[in-house]
Amino acid sequence: MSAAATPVRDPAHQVPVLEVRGLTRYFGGLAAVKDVDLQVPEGAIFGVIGPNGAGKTTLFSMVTGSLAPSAGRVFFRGRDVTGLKAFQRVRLGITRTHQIVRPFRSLTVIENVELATRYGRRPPGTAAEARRRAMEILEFVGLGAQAGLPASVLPVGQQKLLELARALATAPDLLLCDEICGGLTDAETREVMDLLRRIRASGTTILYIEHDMRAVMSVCDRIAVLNFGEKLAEGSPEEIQRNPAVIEAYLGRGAAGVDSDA
Amino acid sequence: MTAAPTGTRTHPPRVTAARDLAAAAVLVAVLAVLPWTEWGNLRLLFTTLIWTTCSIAWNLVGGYAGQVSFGFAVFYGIGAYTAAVLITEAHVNPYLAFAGAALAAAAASLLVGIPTFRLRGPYFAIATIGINEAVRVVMNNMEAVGAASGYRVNEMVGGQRAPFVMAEHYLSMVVIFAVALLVSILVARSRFGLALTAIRDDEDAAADIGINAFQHKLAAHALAAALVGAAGGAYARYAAFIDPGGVFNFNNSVSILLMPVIGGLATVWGPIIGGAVYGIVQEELVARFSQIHLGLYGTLLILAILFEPGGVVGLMRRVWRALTGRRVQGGPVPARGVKA
Amino acid sequence: MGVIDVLNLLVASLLLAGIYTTMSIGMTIIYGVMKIINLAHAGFMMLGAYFVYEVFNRLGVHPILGALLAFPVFFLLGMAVHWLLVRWLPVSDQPTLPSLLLLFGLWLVLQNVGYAAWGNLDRSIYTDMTLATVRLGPLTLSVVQLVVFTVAVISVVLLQFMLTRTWFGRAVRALTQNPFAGQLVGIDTARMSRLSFGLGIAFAGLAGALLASLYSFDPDFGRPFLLRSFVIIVLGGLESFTGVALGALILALVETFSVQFVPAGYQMAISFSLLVVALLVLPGGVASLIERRGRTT
Repeated sequence: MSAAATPVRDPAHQVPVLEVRGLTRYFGGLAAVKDVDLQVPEGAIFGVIGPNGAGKTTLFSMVTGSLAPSAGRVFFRGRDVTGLKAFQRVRLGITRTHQIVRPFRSLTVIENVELATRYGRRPPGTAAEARRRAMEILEFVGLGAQAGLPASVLPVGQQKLLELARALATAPDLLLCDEICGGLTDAETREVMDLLRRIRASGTTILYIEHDMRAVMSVCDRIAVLNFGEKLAEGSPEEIQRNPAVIEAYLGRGAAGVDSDA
Repeated sequence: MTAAPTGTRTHPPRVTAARDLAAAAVLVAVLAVLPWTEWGNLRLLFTTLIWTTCSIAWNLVGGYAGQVSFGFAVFYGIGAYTAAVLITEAHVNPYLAFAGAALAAAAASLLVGIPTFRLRGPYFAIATIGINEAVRVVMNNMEAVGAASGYRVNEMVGGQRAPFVMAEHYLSMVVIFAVALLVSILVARSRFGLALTAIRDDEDAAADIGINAFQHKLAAHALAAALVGAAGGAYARYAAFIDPGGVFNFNNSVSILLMPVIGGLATVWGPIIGGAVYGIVQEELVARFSQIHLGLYGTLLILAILFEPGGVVGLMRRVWRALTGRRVQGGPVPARGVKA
Repeated sequence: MGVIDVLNLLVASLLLAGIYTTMSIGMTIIYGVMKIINLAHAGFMMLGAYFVYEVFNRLGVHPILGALLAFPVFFLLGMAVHWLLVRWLPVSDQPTLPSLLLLFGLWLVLQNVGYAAWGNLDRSIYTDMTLATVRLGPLTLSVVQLVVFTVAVISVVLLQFMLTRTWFGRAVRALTQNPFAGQLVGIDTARMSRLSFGLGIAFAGLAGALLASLYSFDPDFGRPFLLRSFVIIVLGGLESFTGVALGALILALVETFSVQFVPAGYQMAISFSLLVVALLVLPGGVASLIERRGRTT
């Protein structure tokens, strides 16, 4: 990824990469996400945390376009993308990884990634170029040796890396990572955190859901806390750690032992 | 960072495609010279090629994209009627008529695909069972083309009825089969084919890397319908008589889906093996024991799904692996987890 | 059309909707819990019809009583088929290619069993009831239709009762809404799918058995009804039990009234057009309308 273009950081460029306004989603009569506002600035690693069922994944799905909001709007670099489908948003530069890994099981590891380069934001001119770029990305996340294996045989940790590689292959401007460290060992988690920093350094803004508090606190510049679908607080990791409402709602319940999210 | 995928353990796509293309060229060449030799029953081969073409086509939608259709007889019938009418009423050159048949069938495929592919879930499979029956009934009542009593195809050459030349009918079918085979090989290893596989594996994840699943399914369906339509056209010209109970018969839809499942889904050669097996079984068994053919096909389907989801090709790969004691890394597509 | 004619047609639609609901609800149960489209549904309906036919002819059991008997018999048959074939299918939150093909294969086998056992002649069941009518004010009603309607409605009401009041019913609804919920609250999903498959087949058998009193049948008997079931569950929204009843009523109304204007040969085309229209304008089925209203309030 070292070859990727260095981001142009214009200090006067005030438009956030992602902005959501009043985003709301009901399931039946229940509000999974209610009236959430967020602004994710260029080049940030922006964390979204909250207890189980707080609506984090629902929020993600609305940002990537796989779920239509009941109300509210999503803006990407100032452009209203609320009406766009997921594949259209990918082509603008919004991509996600999934909390529960979803590799294309019938394809090999490299085919998974290659396909993403070819349908992403900057499709390469030739198949050979796509394969070369896919290989680069696999090397970047540390799956170079597994390129020819069927995706279905990878252990969970490597499948998580494949999720990340596949998302990166679409050349995202905004990468949404959904609990990418769930089920990983401490060493693997540190590796992934390092990857995220390097991805950000190459110019990609990251929106990051995580249960692992240490991971979030160590890597994020800014954190928003969701609780019962509503935004409870937002601030720097230090501010969030000191916020009594957050401690009450999130940390106070010992949620650290639970690793799934509705 | 390596410049080339040296770490891969499967054949690079171009090698596989080249091997398949070479094999296909040999097969088509052998089929094409048969009329000049003493070998082969051209009528049996003609019908088998029709079935095999339909089998290859179904595999594009049902195998790669994982969208199960129970209604391919619709495209077969529409192709047959389109070619029949073009040849008889408009005196169109038969080969142009086949192209017309392909176009008409592709257009019809959109009518099924547009409302159903947009939605998640089993809507497509459900709709295809419905449309088969609905179209047959409508054709049974369409007086303009003879309704239930059928339609006679009359090909005129220079003011005279064209003579029946079996070899010519056969060769026209070899051409259509060759096109189908070529399409299948190209799709198998192309960006398009990989995307179809991705859609089958996980449609949401496919959308999350920028694949327009709706458009891809629609395109695969139209491509398949066009091939089946052309085959239907060739049949109409050969049979010189078609009726809704024949070409739109639900049993045709059953046969068309059966072949690729038996042969091996989402492979290039599976549908061809399935088609050949079916052609022979149909000729040798069903002609004699017609009352058991439904049960036979049903049993074959059940056995294939429960014991060898990879079909004949899967079985062959398994035997090959057992014989060589080698684990093939990029092995066959595991159809067990295939999403519909 | 006079007022009386319209009234007659409305009543006819309602009577038809009853049996249509019974016929389709089995598919909804199986789809809801297992996310399997039971393509063998038509085969079991056909067997249900022949079951009544046999117990009526051989044992002299009244066809309506026979239909009631069919329910437990087909429940066991369904569980047996599940144990033998269906449980080997991969578990998924959407219909898989193998599940569609397996049950389709089973349908073909059942059809063949029908042809082998009873040939391809049309059969029908005649009792004192068959041609009897009652007059209700200006309306003339067929007794057998009324009885079939009554049994159908009772079966659906009992099902509804079971779904809302029993542990099994609550588990069915939980799984229908969220296939992963089962694991979370410790539902034995294997046992649930066996029971639901049995229940779905029991409704197929009951529906076929009831239809045998109304129409003549042959081994291909279920197919037009399978198509109707599809239209109904798509109209209903695939997973909604109330949606099924509404879908059945809509289809029954459209069929009954369209016969006045369209030749009978096009009936199937009408049903199918309804399916396409439903998919285009109401992709979530009528259930989604109900839900949408609930959401805004």
